[in-house]
Amino acid sequence: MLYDRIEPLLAGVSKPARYTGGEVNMVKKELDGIDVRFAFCFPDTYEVGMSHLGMKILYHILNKRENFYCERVFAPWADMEAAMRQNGVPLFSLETFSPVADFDIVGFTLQYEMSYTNVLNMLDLAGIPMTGSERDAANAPFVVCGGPCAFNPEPLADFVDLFMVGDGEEQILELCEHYDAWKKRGGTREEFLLEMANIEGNYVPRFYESAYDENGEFAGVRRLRDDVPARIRKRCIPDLDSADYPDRIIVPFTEIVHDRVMLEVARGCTRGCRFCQAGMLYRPQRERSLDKLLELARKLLGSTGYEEMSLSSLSTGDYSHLPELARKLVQEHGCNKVAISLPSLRIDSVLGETLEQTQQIRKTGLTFAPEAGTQRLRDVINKGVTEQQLRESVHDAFEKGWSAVKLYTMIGLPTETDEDLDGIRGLAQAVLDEYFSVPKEVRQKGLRVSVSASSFVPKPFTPFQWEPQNTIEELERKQKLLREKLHLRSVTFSWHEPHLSFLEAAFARGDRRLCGVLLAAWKRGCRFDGWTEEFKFDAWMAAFADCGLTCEQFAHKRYDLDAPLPWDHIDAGVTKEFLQREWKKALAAQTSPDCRIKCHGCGMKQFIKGVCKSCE
Amino acid sequence: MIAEFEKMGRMSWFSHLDLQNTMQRAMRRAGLPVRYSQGFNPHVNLAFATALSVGLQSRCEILDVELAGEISPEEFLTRINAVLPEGLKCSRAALVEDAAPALMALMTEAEYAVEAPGADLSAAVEGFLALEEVMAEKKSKSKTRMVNIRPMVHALDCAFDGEKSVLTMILEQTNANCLKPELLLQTLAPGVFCRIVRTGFYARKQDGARVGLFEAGMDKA
Repeated sequence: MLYDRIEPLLAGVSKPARYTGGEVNMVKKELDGIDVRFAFCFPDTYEVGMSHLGMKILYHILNKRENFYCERVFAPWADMEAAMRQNGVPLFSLETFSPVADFDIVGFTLQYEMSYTNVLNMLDLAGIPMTGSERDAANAPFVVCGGPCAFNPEPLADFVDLFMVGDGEEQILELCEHYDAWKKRGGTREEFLLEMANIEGNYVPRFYESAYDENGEFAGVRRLRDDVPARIRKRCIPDLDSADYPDRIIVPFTEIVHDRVMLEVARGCTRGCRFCQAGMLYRPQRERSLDKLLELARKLLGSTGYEEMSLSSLSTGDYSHLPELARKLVQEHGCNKVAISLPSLRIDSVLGETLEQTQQIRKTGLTFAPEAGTQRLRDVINKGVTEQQLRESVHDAFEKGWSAVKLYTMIGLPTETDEDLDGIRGLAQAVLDEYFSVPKEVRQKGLRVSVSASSFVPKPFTPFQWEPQNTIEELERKQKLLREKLHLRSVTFSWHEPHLSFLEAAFARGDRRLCGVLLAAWKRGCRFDGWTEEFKFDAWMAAFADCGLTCEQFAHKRYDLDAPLPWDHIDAGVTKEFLQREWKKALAAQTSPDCRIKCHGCGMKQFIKGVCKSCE
Repeated sequence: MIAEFEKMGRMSWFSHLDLQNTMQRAMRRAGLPVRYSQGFNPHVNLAFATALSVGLQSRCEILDVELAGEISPEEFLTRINAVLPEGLKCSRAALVEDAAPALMALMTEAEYAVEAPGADLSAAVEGFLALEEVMAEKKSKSKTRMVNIRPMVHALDCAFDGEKSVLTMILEQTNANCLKPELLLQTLAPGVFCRIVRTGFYARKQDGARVGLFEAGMDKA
């Protein structure tokens, strides 16, 4: 067994429990009765990957089938990678310590662009050829990808056999069922992929090509054969209650990023923030019923022993039955010392009652995301909240004993001026003022206001998809300005590495030419790019140069509103016309209210009938 | 309640802090009547006889958990073992009052079984036993110093069967002074891969005779 060769390496690496599996609720199966072996690969460390909800859901769904076996694989950290390469130990799964090359299907979830080099590195560590044609020749596992970044699959197109676009619950089962039938029937790999390409939500990049005009500008993705769809419609689960959700999840031994039960109360968001890709990709908003959630909470807490539970969604504060859910969860589980935490609260959510409930058990930090400093810019990005609402919310929280507040903001947004940065200082000052307006005997001591500023990255399928990113110099200037402005007592300021955001922008909106850049960067030693200590900016710039391209031409590009876009062949449900209308409204600083108030015709009502509840 | 448990195989690679969380969650899954600490982050009142280094296996760890309700040792074992992952298993349990600090104070030695695949360590062991003083670099949190480890080795033997060396060792383990098996093995055979299993904790009777720590803890009850 491979474990005998892994074990001697463990004493010499950091956090060895990343590599040993065997956790509570890990699925164990005899390989004898298995028809399809699926390696679920997360292209980052164990602690990051194990925090990911989608993996828990799909792991559960696949393993419910007796004859399928889904195992987990994570990217080894640099020390372990070196030890593995030195000793000829291939990439392995945690359930059975099997080489990843022994699996039928190797699936990666693409959560963020800066994990792409890890995908290549993991294939290499597994000894799996990187391109589809090489894999065909070697009869190696099929390589499939899903997750939000699969909505612009082009930068990985050369390395992947199949992209799965949209909600994965049904799609991943179909994949394994079709694979099983194909394997038993016999046939060429191309036949299998052709069959898959004709199932909704599947994109097989080898059946498509990318065109460029005489100036080297992207000119569209075209079919190479007419028996595959011209556009790939994303998959969408209409009813979350009927979708499978795990009632037991793996409890890691070692601490992970989100070390708690995650209860997905809803998918999608009705707010329509114009920078937010998730808010567009996961439309329409769908909720789980109160009863279903209470039942899941009971089962999950019982099967894991976790002492903390979070209610997760893009906008948990908008969940229709939030106060009742919070109250019932506290009633039922409070005596067992379970803390209920509510992350990603929006500042205009109905907080009052909920705050009192959560306080009964455990105080977690309060997080608000005003995103921009002035009302004008908040209108541009359609973040429909006001300073007054922020003031009321934090005032309320301070009266109820909170003393730590996080403010998430963004710099480099379209139309931003230095006045908007002044506004960020103004918001921080407003929070301080509200704190000191609460009488001393009522408020908690130890006020902490953390302001963070990420850099705007234009993303596909958002109204800002045509916008250029600020240059690194401009982002650095704005960060410096904010550092000076936020030199206030009790306020700390943090910001994102702009070089990383620059690269992220190129890969978010890039086309198929970036496959070459990616390969070159990996060859130059890039991996774990999202980790500051591993990020090699110069190597990346050299990789662009190797391919005769620049990062600027992708990150700083302003697309024409009617120009072909590298992700036009993917149908996310929201129409281009809607995104164009939203872009125009943004520049005029006109808001589009929450779509529960007014339908803005994003296209989802036509895309999937009867699910969208907006203004019905 | 005190309980003896094993931490074997894959379970040897997570830390002492992880063990605390793991045991706490197991007790919650098992629905055991455990007592919680006060404060904002209530946790199960749970203590261990001593920590086990990452990478070491053990058949004899001892935990001490404060109970809030009545439960028999047999029931405790049945319920906790039903929810522990493979490699963690409680072998026996006993009801005692305020055991943990007392257990720590009673402990004198720990016993280990070591396997070194593909290495013959018998000559090294023989050489070590012939010496009266063996200096080794002992690291603690704050400082590193040279100490004579020879007197802390109370028993040591080695057998080589042509494929692997099998060692047993009894090493000093008190609050004040303790010799880790990794350090001894590093001195005996630097760079050789060894599987180490802790197999026993001992206390001394008044007449100086060795007695198992768990038994000593039960005697106190």
